[in-house]
Amino acid sequence: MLLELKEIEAGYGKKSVLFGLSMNVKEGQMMALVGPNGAGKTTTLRVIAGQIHPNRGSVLFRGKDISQMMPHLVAQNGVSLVPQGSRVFTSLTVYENLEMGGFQIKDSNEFRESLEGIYRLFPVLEERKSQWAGTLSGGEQQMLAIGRGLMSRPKLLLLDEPSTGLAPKVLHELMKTIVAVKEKMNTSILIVEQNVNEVLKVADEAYVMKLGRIVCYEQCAETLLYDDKLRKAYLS
Amino acid sequence: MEYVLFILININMYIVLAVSLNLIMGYAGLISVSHAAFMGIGAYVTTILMVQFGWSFLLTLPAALLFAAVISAIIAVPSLRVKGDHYIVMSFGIQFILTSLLNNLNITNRAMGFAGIPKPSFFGFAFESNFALLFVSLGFMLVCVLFAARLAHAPFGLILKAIREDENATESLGKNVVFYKVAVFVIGCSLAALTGSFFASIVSFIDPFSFTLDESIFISTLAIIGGSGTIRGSIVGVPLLIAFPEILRFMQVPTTVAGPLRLIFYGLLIILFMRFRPQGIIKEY
Repeated sequence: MLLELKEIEAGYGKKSVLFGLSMNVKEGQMMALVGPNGAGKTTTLRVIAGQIHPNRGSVLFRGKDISQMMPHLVAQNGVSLVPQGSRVFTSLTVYENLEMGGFQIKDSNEFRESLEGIYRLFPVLEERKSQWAGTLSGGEQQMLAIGRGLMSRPKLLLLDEPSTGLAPKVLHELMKTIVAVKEKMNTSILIVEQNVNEVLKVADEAYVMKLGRIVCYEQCAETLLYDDKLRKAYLS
Repeated sequence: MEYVLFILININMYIVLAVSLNLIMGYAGLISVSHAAFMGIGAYVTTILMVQFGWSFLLTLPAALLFAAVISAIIAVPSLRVKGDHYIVMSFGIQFILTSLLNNLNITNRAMGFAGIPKPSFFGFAFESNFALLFVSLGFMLVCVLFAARLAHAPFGLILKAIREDENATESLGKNVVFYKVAVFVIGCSLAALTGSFFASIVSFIDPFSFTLDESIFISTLAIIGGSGTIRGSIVGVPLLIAFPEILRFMQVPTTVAGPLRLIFYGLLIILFMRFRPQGIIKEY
């Protein structure tokens, strides 16, 4: 198992958000995490990335407990979080943004390989490499945010609502690229997404979350689309 | 001639102050109004060691550097763990405490300060004339600016800008944000302290009024109007801002009017810049 969350209880200050959440992500898998607003999806990702330390429970990444680790060390261990709203560094160029993601790579050949891999996935980033990141379109910024997260060749990529602010057609293309990331870069993906229709079509497995708990686990993500369980989670 | 030399020396000093504050404020985005206090630390360490303990100027430099580095690290480690804009309020506090200490401690000679501080000497060679002192300040300025420029263009500078924009995102790329913030603060404050050392020895008189909150804010103004986030901005901006008000002296304006006029000039300049060119003289991007 690549990632195991066991009985996580976490929150902000005195306010609890997650109540005994447990979930697993396997190697080479694209796992979708869906659920209504306020379910605690983003909080779950922040717990995994080390930005919030859980009050109880453990986060095992490749067998090692990372639940109390500082965020930059979690990242150095191979977990990369792409935060919501494609937050690229707007005052740096596209290339500098990617450079920021790849500083951990000491070997310059390895760095170049990583960079070329990103450019193959997102050719538009190579065309615009010396442009300020703030001048990219919304979709391009999201690609840059994902590319930046991939530069360090993480074992696990955490994507928080990559659809935010994207046109439906752009989103469809982006989902296809995310699948390509999983296949070509040998990276497992945990994706949180509001656009359930798009994400369940491409994900392998899925968890449905509600009010800080997992309410449903489905081995074939797409079947959820034709299932009542999902609708119940959102509506009841 | 002496007058022109004095202005040029002043410009060199302020360039180092603006550049070092720019690393903290322009690059890392830590808005700080305590820069003059750290300049004061350097000035007093050098002065006390020279006047009361008879050290040579050169030997006091590492002492001033180390002293300022330790103090700034002690302040930085707890306060820079705080995210967001709280730091600006803390730096207010730092400035007030340090000014008050300089005004009230016996070792700093309270409000009287020190006069007759020996001029800088290197390996027994003393620089006495103002012309020689200009070269001392010029050399100091060039070394500091080259150092700051190297730092700014290394990955270090890039990481600082990333922190300024988004601490969480920088952290999730594997960077220890607190370490970088503390590092740039210590480096910037140490440079300010060194400037204080040179200032004390060149001017040969210091008192607490040279290192007040007003002075800190003036240094921030230099950095912002020059262009925050660019080293070049500080270098271009400082001479303009220091030299321009001196024109008043040649316009037969009485000194009682010239002082307030100078402040009005600065005030207007800040307002106009913020309205029409908030990025400063040299744009970052």
